[in-house]
Amino acid sequence: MFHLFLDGSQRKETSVFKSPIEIKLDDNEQLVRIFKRGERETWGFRKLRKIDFVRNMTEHSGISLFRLKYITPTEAMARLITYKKKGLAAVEAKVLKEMGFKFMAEHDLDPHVSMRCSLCNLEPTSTEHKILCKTIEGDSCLLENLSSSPSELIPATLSKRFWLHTPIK
Amino acid sequence: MAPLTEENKIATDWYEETCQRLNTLRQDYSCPDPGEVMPCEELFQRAKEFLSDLREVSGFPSVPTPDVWVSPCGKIGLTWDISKESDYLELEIEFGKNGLTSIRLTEDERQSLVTLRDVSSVFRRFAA
Repeated sequence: MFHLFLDGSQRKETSVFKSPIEIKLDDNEQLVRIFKRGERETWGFRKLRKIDFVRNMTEHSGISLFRLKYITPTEAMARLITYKKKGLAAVEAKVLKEMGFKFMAEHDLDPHVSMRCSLCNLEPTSTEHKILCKTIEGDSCLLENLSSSPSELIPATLSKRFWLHTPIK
Repeated sequence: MAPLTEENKIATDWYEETCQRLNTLRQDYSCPDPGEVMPCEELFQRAKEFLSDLREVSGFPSVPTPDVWVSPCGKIGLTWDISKESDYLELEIEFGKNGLTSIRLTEDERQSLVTLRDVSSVFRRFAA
């Protein structure tokens, strides 16, 4: 199977896996995160919040990011079905790697990655969706929904490390 | 001339503007995405009441209008943040299904929980 890149070149896919695997990202690779706002939530159209970086416990156990190396911003936003308005936040992979995050994908060339916290045991998500991967030590996932635990700090930190790529208009 | 509704009234201060934002979110988030939870109607009212009390107890300080948000799990949050020279100060008040859940102060990168006893004095730090 060949993959077509944005610059028109082709590369043969060297590995295809059915269940997610951990992949390594280049330091300078740009990743984007979709954030959502209400139709009239205008005061939030041009800012990022910590709630934009918590996992929603649906498709997988991390938070979704898209790789601009393999997908356009427009295509990335089209992947999310929502009633709300969408914008994009961006970051270089190096920043996230330095924070200890890991990345899971279907294969090396997958435009979508699931970012996992440093404690994650990287087990594939149960198809029931309700069962999330457990951390190695049994601690709470650092990307957990907002709570009063120290895990609050990670989403807040992420909201300051990402920059506004595509504000909502 | 039609009477002004609560939503149409022009905000005269940060408190009214915050209430308007809460009203806006109540409508905008009435249809949550799959997996998301909509805050109950009562929670929006509780947030307004808490804010009204806080404003009064704090001596009606003139503070900026906070960021007002709804989380995917149905919490309501109010966030004030100011940057003065090299200092960063953030106050965040969260409401969950049982009412007020936390009041958090962040100074630069240090975060601490604020008690109800101390919240008014902390709140006044955000006054212009």
